[in-house]
Amino acid sequence: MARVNPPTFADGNILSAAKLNQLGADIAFLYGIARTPIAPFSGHVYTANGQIGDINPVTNVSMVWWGRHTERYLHYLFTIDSGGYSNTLRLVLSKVNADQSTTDFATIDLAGTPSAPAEFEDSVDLNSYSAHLSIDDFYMVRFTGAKSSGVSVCRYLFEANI
Amino acid sequence: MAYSPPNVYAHGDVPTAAGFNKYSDSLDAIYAMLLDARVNLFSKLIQDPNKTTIVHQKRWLHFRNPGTMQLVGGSADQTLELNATGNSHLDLHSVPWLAYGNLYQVSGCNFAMEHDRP
Repeated sequence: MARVNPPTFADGNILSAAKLNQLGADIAFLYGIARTPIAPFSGHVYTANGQIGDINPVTNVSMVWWGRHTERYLHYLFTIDSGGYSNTLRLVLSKVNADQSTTDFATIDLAGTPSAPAEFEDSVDLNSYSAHLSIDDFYMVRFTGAKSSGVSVCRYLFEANI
Repeated sequence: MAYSPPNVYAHGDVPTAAGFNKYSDSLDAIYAMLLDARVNLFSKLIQDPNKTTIVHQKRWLHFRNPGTMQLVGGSADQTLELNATGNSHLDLHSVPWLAYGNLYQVSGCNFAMEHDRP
């Protein structure tokens, strides 16, 4: 069933078969969307050592994601499965400006020189950054730190309304 | 409530309460499947030669820096150069070989994602 523009009713209208069938077609269309499987977030496993989350140059793109702000909360889970870091591990949110430059608007320290096993799971209320981030703005989410050894994993990262 | 396919009416049919209640029941069933959660996933920055694979669902493709999009398993005719520098977007309605539900890959760009808004 394809979606069609729903009919507009007014007082005194006769309920025509065509209009009722438009309503029915749209409900069937929405049912089809609701049945669509949800793709999972694929965790990112990182084994190389050195600086992670560095966007200068942009070719070093480990632990960097790009999003368009639509929902209030940013949820994340980052784990250090082995090895560790020689400086502070941070979550950094960077707005992408119209001139392609980026502006960091949130820097959240997760831990200083953390080592395995470690797990950082939390959510960020993006309304706290409404002065910097509006609905439909593009921004980067990145985990930064100097990884000295081992395996780090971003297990999930997404925005949600709850 | 379970989903109940809406009635298909013909001219002269008399709508009944049972017929209208199918609308409500079906909307309840759709809500029970979707609930209140809205989730927005992120696009991993693309590290060449990796590619982002997308099932075409929304009208606008947002991307950054030049790259290509190609239908998975498609011919050379089903390749499109994405030439914009910096952030840009493409109205996928302008791509004649791409239909909703098609699988395609974007390579070369720093990131790519579909959205229902430009």
